[in-house]
Amino acid sequence: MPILQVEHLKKHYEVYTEKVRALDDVSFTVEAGEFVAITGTSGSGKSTLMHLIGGVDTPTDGKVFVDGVDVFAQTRSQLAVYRRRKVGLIYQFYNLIPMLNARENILLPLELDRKVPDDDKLRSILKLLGLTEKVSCYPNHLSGGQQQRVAIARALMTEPSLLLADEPTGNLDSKNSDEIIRLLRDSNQKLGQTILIVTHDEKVAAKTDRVIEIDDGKIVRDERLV
Amino acid sequence: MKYLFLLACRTVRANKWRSAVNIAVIACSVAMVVITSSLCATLLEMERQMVICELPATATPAEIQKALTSDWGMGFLLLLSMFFNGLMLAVAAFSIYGAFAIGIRERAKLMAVLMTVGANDLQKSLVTLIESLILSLVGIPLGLVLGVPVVYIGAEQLTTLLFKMGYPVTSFFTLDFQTILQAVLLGLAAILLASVISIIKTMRRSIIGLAKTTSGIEISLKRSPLDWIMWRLFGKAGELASQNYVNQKRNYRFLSLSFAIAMMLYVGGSLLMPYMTQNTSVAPGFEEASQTLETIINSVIQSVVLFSVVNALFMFSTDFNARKGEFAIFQSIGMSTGMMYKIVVLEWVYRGFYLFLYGLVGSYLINFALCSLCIASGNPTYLINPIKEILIALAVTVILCTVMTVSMISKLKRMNIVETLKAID
Repeated sequence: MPILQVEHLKKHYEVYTEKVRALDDVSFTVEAGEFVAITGTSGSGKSTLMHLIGGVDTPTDGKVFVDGVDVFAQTRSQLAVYRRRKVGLIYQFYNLIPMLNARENILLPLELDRKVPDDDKLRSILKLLGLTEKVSCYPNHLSGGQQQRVAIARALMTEPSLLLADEPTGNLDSKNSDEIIRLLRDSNQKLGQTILIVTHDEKVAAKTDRVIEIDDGKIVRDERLV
Repeated sequence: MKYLFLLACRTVRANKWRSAVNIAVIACSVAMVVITSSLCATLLEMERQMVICELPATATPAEIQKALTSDWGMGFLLLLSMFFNGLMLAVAAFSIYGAFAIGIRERAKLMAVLMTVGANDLQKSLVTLIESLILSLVGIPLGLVLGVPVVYIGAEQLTTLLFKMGYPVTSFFTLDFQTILQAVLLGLAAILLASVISIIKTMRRSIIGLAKTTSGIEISLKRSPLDWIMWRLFGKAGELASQNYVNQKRNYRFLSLSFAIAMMLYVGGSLLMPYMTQNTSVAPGFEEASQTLETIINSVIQSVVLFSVVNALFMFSTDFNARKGEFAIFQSIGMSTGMMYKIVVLEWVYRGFYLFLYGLVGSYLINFALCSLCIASGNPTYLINPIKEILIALAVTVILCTVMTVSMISKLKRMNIVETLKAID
């Protein structure tokens, strides 16, 4: 069974008096362990797709199944649990909590789930992401690249079914961007993590296994690169 | 749970200025409620003892009761104390609610991030509630510490004065458990209400909607009929000032109400003694007592006004922090500094006009109410026109708006556009 099934997903909304079709009947599946890039021009609907899969927005029509569960058939509390356990979200602007240090940010989803963190797992993720020396630092003491790595660690810590990254390199220089993509690649290959990454950068997309291109809310290309 | 508590504590610490403001508002509100309630109780007790002193020593309890019931001063003071207590409670409640509501709104992004990592409604709410309780645990006792000595000093002064004049009165210091409980419950209720309402509003919005409020720029489609008039009079700056006022009006309505009610309290308090002594002459030997009483009442009223002005200054100072992104965008697209300053000046003129207008209407209403109370208490009186008090209130409003305008302009001068634009994202 695919880990992700998107069926006839639509998202329309009104901006003042204009009707905008952000997504228009999008359907696709993703198998476990895939590294997929969602590409498209600005305003094509790729971030909207990511937000819907991540359960942070609601569709006008259509369904999303993650691990066989209909995401939008869930209650508010179930959706919160879904965001906590089933998906890991990474944003362009990190979205770390400034009052918590790196370790606390990383362990926050587990804390919300009242789970005792696995120290070995934490150590291995910190080592993978090169954050061992930075666990006690607060976000304002970390560089952009380091903050993004903390965000990735937070997403990986709960072993989600899906890792969703919305333009994770959009706010980084080229060196840090390459590093982040390499880390995502490593977590895909070493940990078997299923990753969907939104990007407008073709070079980033070229490093993934599969590219889905969206234009005007519709899928115009779905190509496996390997 | 541990992290949520940690997050709440660190949020209080991280936002030092905001937390200090909230604590100051709570403390002042609680202190003013204690002072007003106790002052009213003290005045009633003073009047009661003076009435009893004037009765013969052989007066029976029934005669004492009859004298107290028929004394117009007792009736007047009783109705007045209910009235002023009610107004002061409203000022305090609106001030606390307004201060907390602004603070919670500014944390929309934190709420959005918590929701993203899977916090449910209860967990999000706990962060806000814990933070509110921490602030109230500091602010409420501080308010009691501020208010009680003021009441004690005032009451003891009155007691000493009347004792010297030959009245065998006991201490007027009236601060019962009910007054303290009232002040504490008011503080807690206003804080919790602000927290709960803000939490409910957060729950109604999507994560995306919350995240988008981080820019501090909320656009409303509401347009005022005055937009066109402001545009005709002052050009684009006038139109923008009018639109900004309409957009921001909702954020500050409780604080505006608090300011207007404080103005009403000031006018009403200033008219209290004139109405009480209008058709009665002060008995020989009581001039000093009457003046002392007037001084105490005026001090309380001026404290109320000062509190309200300080409250408004603190709160309106957050206006810049919430809107600096908007100004940064204006500058980045080439708006001249002169035009920006013009927008700020016109906005504050606009805001000041409405603040004064609401206060003016309320002041005349309270004037009519005082006059009616006098008549209802059996003391026929004529309506006093509070021109002097209204002009003083107008001057206070003008000074407040001028200070805020100057403050905002000086902050604009020091603002770094790039850093501010980055902060929006």
